[in-house]
Amino acid sequence: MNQKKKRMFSTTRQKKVAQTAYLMVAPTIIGLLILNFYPIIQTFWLSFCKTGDFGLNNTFIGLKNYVDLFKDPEIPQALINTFRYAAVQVTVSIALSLVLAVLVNRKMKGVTIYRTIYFLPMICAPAAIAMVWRWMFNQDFGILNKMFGTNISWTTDPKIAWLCVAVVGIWSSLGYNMVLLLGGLQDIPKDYYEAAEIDGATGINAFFHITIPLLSPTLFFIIQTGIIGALQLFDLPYMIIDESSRAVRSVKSVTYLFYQHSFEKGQRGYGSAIVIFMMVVISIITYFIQKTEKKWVHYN
Amino acid sequence: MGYTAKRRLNSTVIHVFLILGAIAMLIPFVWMVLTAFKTKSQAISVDPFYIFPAGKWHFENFSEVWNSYNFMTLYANTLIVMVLRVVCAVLTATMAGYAFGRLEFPGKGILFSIVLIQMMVPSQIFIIPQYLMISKAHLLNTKFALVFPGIVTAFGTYLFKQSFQSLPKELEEAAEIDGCTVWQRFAFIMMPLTRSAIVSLGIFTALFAYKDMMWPMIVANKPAATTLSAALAKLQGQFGSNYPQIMAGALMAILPMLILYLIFQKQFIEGIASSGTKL
Amino acid sequence: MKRRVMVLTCSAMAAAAIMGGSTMVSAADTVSVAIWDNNQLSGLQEIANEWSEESGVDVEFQVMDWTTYWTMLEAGASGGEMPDVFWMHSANAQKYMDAGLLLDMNSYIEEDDAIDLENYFPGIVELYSQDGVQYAIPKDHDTIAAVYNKAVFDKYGIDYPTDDWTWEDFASIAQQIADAGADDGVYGTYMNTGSNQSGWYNIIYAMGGEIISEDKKSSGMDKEETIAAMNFVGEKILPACPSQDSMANTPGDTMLMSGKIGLYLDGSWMAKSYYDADNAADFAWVEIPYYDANENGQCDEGERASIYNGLGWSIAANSSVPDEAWSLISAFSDEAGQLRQSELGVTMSGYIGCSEPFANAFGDMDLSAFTKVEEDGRLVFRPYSKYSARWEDDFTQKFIDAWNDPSLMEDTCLELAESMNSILAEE
Repeated sequence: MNQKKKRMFSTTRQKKVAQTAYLMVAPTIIGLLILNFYPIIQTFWLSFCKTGDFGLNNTFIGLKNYVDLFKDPEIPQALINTFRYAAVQVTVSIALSLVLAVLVNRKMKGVTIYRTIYFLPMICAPAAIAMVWRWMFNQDFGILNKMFGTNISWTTDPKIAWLCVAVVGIWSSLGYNMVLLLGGLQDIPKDYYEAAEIDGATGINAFFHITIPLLSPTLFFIIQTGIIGALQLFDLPYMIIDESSRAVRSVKSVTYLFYQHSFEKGQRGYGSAIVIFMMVVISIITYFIQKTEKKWVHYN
Repeated sequence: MGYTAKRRLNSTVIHVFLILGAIAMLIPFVWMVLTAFKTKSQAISVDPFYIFPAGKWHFENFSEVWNSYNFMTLYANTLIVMVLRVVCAVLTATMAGYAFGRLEFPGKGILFSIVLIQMMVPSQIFIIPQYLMISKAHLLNTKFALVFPGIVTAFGTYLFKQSFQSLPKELEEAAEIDGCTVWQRFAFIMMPLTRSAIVSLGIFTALFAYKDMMWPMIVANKPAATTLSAALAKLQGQFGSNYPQIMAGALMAILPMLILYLIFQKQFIEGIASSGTKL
Repeated sequence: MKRRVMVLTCSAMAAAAIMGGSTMVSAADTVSVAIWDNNQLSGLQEIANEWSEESGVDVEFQVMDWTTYWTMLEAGASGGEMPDVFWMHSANAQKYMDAGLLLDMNSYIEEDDAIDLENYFPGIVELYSQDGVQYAIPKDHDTIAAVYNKAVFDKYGIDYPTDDWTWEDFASIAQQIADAGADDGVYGTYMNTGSNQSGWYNIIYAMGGEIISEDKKSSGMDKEETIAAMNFVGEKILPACPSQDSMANTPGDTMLMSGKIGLYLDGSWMAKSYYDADNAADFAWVEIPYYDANENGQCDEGERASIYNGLGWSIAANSSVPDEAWSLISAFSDEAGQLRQSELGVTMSGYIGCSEPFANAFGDMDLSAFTKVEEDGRLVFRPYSKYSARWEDDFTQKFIDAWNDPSLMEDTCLELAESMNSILAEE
């Protein structure tokens, strides 16, 4: 707090304001401490324990869960699965939605209808989305093989299955990204383009020199939240890929492993170690994303 | 080629592209509806392949699923959870966001870092401890359990901090001279100005509450206590490969939200869009 | 103003708490029941309705698939909130008994004239008891039979199978269908890595192998006979099946009903779903094949093996309505209830001698293949140990590669024996 402000308010006033401020933040801070801060500490503790059946008789086993984790061949595979999903899903989804947003950002008929349709997956329960796609992907009775006259093992061939999951991920996020980007595009003043046109920059040229830089804060926001979201992938592979399929190994994400160990196999301690590990990975990635921010994001 | 002709051609190409995309977006929904009205043997018939239900449309899939799941309860539960979460989130986040955005007090930085930490950490980390809290308090299968993780929101607090900060100082200074207390300034002058942020947070919270599957699956395992998303996840197992009934269930689960969305689509989309420019 | 906001916050939270509380209060006049098989719901519901009319207590069923069921039950058990009444299964029973999560039924059994454990299949009774305490009452028992799609057999002019067939016959008929139907994308049979109780377990036991030793201390997956049986699966049966990829897409019963395969093994608990299909007239049942060990051309004692299993009705140890829960279980499991269960075609009974009506429960569809095997076959109780759920998961996952490349079968068996032994050592 600087000197100027101190002079402006009397100390009692300041105290009163501070009191009110504490009251205002209290529900949120207390809530966060109970709901989030304490769980982080507890999970951290659990990750050093072997949990008994039904969560009873936890015994401290030191670093064993972490040692197991680094020996577990499923972990590197899960990391690969998660990263390649994130890479494909985020890039394709953003590229496509950018194209869509640019195409829709003009005076023409039907913009509202397109927007409404592309946004539709956002309001659907993920379970419903996963079910209908699983059914469409079915090798024997699904509409995709019927439509194309093929006999592709969409969800059971490891080479294809993870791409199918990514396709569903892209399909689900396209509308959301498009709406955000459209919002960003509409904030760009028209005279920028007019000025550029005088300088002879039109079309593709204007897109890269005006649109992208001015859209960069929105793009950055979408990329960052998109990557973090994609790294937490769980619902889609869990519901689309059958457990008795060899493809399950190529789609099992880190969160999927966490869920399996914690809730299906009753190994909460190991599950906690997985999620702590994941937290570290996501923090590192977030750190690097933040570092790139200054290089290409232009805030006005 | 003249300028207008070129423009028209351009816009036709664009429309074709957008329409093809729209069809691709809609196919899953269409297939969901078509399958829901078939019999099981039509759905798994290889030869001939039925695109439309043969003969009549079979509404009994809906009644079968409706009867084995108490959909009215599920709708009610989901709605209650959505409303409670939105109310809690907006109440706590506006207050905290205002304090962080516009008031000066010792320890502000440290307290705000608690908010930031929550946003950085993957949400899965909270599930087991939160679950243990609920189960130790014997609150499993209650509405409170379903609302519990959403009572406060770090995302919302951040959103409102940004949004209060962007408002001009003069507004409040005038009110202060008139002798308004901090609470009065917050409730009557500043909060109404953040309407668009309230709409954004409301939509995000409601959508999240509606879509969240893992939490309700874990804390509410009784059919009368759970939400649509979690019940739907079980449906697939229950009806095995009876695809028409699965699709009928999925359709019934998304229908209420779909109707709400189609009515309020403008507010929906603008609410989402405005959040992007704030963060 | 300050007060108003606080009051609002508090009342919102209080409202949430009160509304939550109300569901717990209403539980007193309801018994909640959890099961994992939707096919049985309507029949059980009928028996439960009759009980409700007499007792005035409602029964609330919830049905989940197998995996979800155990995940939810485990989560509920850890949190102290289980359904009042639920099914117990050999895969997990011991774990639940050890943890003291199931109600001790001894005093109830003593007081209830309708329940005498002598009347039930001893293997099932034994499974659910520990140190003289009974934790579940047998609900049913099941056996395995083969089902075939007559339309597929007719189309390719292949003779229907008969009860006196061997596993070699099974494989060769399946291969005939697969050869004849190659152009139509029709296959002979279906057996996935997870088809254990109603699939390859039966072949292992018919050929003299075992999954687990009798004392439950060591795995039988590395036994010579077990490996021979799995090689038989890999060399003779899998070539007549759709690819493993395709089998992971669609369950076997759906494949058979749609005519994608001609022949399939299934359990008695599945009979209803075949009967309910539009084309039910196409399906017929025949006894499970035998393995002609002495090659004398007939089925001698012990050569026909069917895995059998029996579920149990359990009550949560901390149920708030144990008396009502017991009364409901008694209605399901006494002689009348078990006969009713067979008549309704829910399943065969756990009560000895009440299964006959099951054979004719579905009109034209003859289900005697399931009851005949009890007379001329060897019933093997489904292999289990305390953590059987864990090694069974391993089977399903680790056999995937061997299914795609049968030459890996032996190595996989040895590998599985090792991982199973380490799980058994933990018990």
